[in-house]
Amino acid sequence: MTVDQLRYSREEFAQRGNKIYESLVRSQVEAENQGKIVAIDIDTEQFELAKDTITASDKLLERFPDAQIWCVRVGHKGVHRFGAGSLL
Amino acid sequence: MQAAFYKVMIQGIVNQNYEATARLLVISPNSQSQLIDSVIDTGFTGFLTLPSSVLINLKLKLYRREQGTLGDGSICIFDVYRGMVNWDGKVRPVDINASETIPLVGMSLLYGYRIQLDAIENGKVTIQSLGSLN
Repeated sequence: MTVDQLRYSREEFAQRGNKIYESLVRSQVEAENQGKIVAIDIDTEQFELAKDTITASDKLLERFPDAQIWCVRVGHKGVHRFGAGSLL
Repeated sequence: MQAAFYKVMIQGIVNQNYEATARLLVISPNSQSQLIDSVIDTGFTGFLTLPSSVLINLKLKLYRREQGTLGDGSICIFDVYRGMVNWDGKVRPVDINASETIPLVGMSLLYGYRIQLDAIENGKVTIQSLGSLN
């Protein structure tokens, strides 16, 4: 855990992260990794795949200590689901 | 002669709103800590949510972002912080989704555990490692 700060807005994270996932990552992971987590560095466009967000993010931070990380769950719109009413 | 075996477990209580609650010790990298009363939410697939007041107080680090799916099917962008919790006697890392609601414990933190609860006011909640039950 060495990233000091996030340098992009929420909207930029989503836009860049989802674009990298769709254009570079999805074709490499989707067939055999449904439900797994991809952690993407939106600066270097490098990524790591793991079964949970902590493992995927830590693997990416080992390679890129300043990574700006956007996580995606393969085959899903959201990484996590928040049950009905739980955020009200 | 059998060795004494002490089974650690997490205990909580069902509150007046019929929510299963548990008290957690959340720990920051600089060893600050805060007791958090949380609601166990099996409809939440993540580890833990905390409001910004707690995240700021503990000086936890914002280190990534992600999309989440809300109960109505809409998509929301979440800030994710890294912290640690004392869970079943062990300190373990958790990803924490910032959310301005009562703290929620989700299924990622509960993975590998058995939850039992008496669904009545002041009912007993117990969370036990599946490994400890063998």
